[in-house]
Amino acid sequence: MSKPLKKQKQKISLNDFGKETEQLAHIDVAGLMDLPKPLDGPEPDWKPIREQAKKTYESELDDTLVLNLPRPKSKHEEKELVRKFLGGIEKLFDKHNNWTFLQPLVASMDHCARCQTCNAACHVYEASGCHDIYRPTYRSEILRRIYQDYVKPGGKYYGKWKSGQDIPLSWKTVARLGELSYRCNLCRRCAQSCPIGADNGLLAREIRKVFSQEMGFHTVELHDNGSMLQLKVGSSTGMNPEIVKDNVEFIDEDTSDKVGFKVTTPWDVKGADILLIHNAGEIMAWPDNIGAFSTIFQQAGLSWTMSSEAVGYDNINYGLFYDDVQFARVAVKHAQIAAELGVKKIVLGECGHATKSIMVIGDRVLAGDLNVPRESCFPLLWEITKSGVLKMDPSRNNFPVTLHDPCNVVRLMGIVKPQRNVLNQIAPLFREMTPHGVDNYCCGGGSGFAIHSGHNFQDWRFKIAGRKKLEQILTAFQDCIGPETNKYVCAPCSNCKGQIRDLIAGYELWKKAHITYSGLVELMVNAMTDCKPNYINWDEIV
Amino acid sequence: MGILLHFLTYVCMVIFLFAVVAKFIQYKSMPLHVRWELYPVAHEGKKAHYGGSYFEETNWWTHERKPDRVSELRHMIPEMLFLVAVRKHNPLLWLRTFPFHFGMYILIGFMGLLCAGAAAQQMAGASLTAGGALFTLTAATGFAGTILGILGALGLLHRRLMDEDLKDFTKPADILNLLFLMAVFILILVSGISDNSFGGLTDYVRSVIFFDVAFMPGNAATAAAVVLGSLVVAYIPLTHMAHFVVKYFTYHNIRWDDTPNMRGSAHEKKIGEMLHYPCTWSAEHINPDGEQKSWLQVAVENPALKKEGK
Repeated sequence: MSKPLKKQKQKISLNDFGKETEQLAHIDVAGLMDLPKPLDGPEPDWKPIREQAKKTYESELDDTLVLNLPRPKSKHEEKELVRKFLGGIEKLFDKHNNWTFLQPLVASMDHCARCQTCNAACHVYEASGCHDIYRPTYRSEILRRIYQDYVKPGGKYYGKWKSGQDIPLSWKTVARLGELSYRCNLCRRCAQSCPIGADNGLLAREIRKVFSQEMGFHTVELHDNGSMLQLKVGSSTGMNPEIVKDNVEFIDEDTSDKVGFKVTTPWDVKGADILLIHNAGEIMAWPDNIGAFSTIFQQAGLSWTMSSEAVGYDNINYGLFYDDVQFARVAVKHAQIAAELGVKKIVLGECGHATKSIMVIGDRVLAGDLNVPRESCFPLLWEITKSGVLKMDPSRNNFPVTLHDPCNVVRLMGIVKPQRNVLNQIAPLFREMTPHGVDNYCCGGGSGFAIHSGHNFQDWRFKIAGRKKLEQILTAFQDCIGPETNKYVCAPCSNCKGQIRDLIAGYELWKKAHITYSGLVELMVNAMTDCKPNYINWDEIV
Repeated sequence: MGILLHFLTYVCMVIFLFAVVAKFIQYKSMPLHVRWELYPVAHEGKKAHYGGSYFEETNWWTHERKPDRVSELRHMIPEMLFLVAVRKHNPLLWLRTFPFHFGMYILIGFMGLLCAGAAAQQMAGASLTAGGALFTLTAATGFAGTILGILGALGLLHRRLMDEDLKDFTKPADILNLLFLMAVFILILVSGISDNSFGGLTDYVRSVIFFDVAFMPGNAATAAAVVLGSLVVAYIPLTHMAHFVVKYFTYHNIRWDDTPNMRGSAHEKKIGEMLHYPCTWSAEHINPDGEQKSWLQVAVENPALKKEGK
């Protein structure tokens, strides 16, 4: 029997959503879900949002802020924004403007039974101490009522009957809804639990789409510094082709020193079997991951290349989280580059959203010559491990390892076993989290949150979005939780890795429990007997 | 009165059929959407039990893909009959919703038995014999279905009205739906008790099948059951209770739709067509001036370079 969930005292009904209050919801940190040792002490309170930011942006939802909607200067401007929002919702239900998601959208809007079954599946809701506004159904129901009452033909006559109480439609309501769409990791665990198949994660994304595609509001991290920067210079990291090549050359040198033989990353090889596309964030933040891939592919004798064409060296596609058009633009660029190189297939590095973007969502965007075969790196890494072409000594990985399942490749793509097969072969102290596989919990960095830290949003990522994952990690290591044992969270996804890095740092888990994190390929190279030992260097972890 | 009652029944049956077909066509005619699957996907055969997919294989596009339809049925039939997902994720709700739904399924079987009884009666020229197999089975399903349905509806009503988590999300239509269905279950039950163990309903069904439109049930509860029963048949597909149609699409066309877009496939052709759909999203980075642009055109534009005049 599972223990009863903690419940916040504050009650916020659907009818409260448009209220003329300064801040609608406050999450009491004492009411957050409890954490296991060594984090079983009190949680510090929220860092306040600066007064200047509150004056500049709509910040009346909860204790944090991420969308940065500028406050309108006049009532007229407010009305205009509300009109634009309703126009955007209308376009969501238009088969031309939203062919991409029309059927899933209509099914979820029309047939949710409001049974609240999905609430218990949501890590944000549970971790927050079951706060009303974080129910997966809450934002969907606000959207549904606005649609029923103000957009659907005849809504003003029967909307109340069909949807319950009216939601007053003001800019405040719209702005709060926009902000609330960024309190969901889009992990779709809620959809998995829905008996009918309604998808509240999808509805959160559809709200984001209206804000971006019609109103021009998006987070700076996903749009300006994300997809736009990628389309402008080649990568959301800001690296242009020359800088990427320089950086990878440096990584090659460093890796060569570490492994004890020359490692060279090939560039722009026409007709290679594989075009490997990394998340360029790895090049900046986790060069060992890039070096490990190059080492493995080289030693396994694969015919492969990286591309130095702008966008071709960065598999990120942030459009997945907020904008179908931006998504399509980046997916087309990736495919064009692969087609021009004449490679047999694209292999995606350890990045969950990028893998799903081009393999699943992009599958119905790319046609003709752009339909270049694409696969995740995990099956290939397992095939290499299984083949025995690389000599591995599992005792080099003789420390407890647990595996985080990135939602995008596991629950949303069904790639469950290959990465486990590798770990079972090379990590003798591997243990699963509970639950795992397709029932996993999001790391809390999903839908791009891992790159959002403005104002005090990092606080929200730590205390709420990442709390369930934190609980899972600590529980997996409870038998050796003390700092005398080095422990490794294998997080084979850049976004998840960023979130887990921040959680570990924010809660001082290296100091308190000697828990560190990294990807799958680092563990493989650490076990390779051709390489010098200690590719994972515990002494360098701070 | 008999003619009026039959007219109501026929009209409600026609509305039901039209509404179900219209709902099916509505969903079927929507454009092919992007893939949005969710694992486990039941037709993945041996991989389905842990949620695996064909993406777990290298060069997956070179392997023959055989969706396992038997595995789909193995998943879908228990899901439909026993509401497995609710039992797994919300056992307290399942205690209420399972009897409600299962009661309805039994009543659908009961309707079939009423039709069989009516046909037998017409052929024999006499009422069914009490104690006979068909008579007993009809009575058993009628009583079991209505009692389960009433218990389930009461449980669901109680939950809708009393559960703090649900109250806020409950709309007037939800209450009406439950009351409406419960009233029908009660009237059928009363008809069964007071009118020869559903003999009266069998007579009415015979008159509907064989167009004996002058026939009028002698029992008031039976007549009331016919009126409300006919109305509920027409009402269900017009409400969100039409999820019995939509669930086919949410599973087969969304959660389980992992059909890859292979070169030269029908999917690829459809995608080619949809890329020519107009795209009028008006944000600055898409189509701020409302030009005639297709998805294909906006997808190959680079707004970042456009901004710099490149």
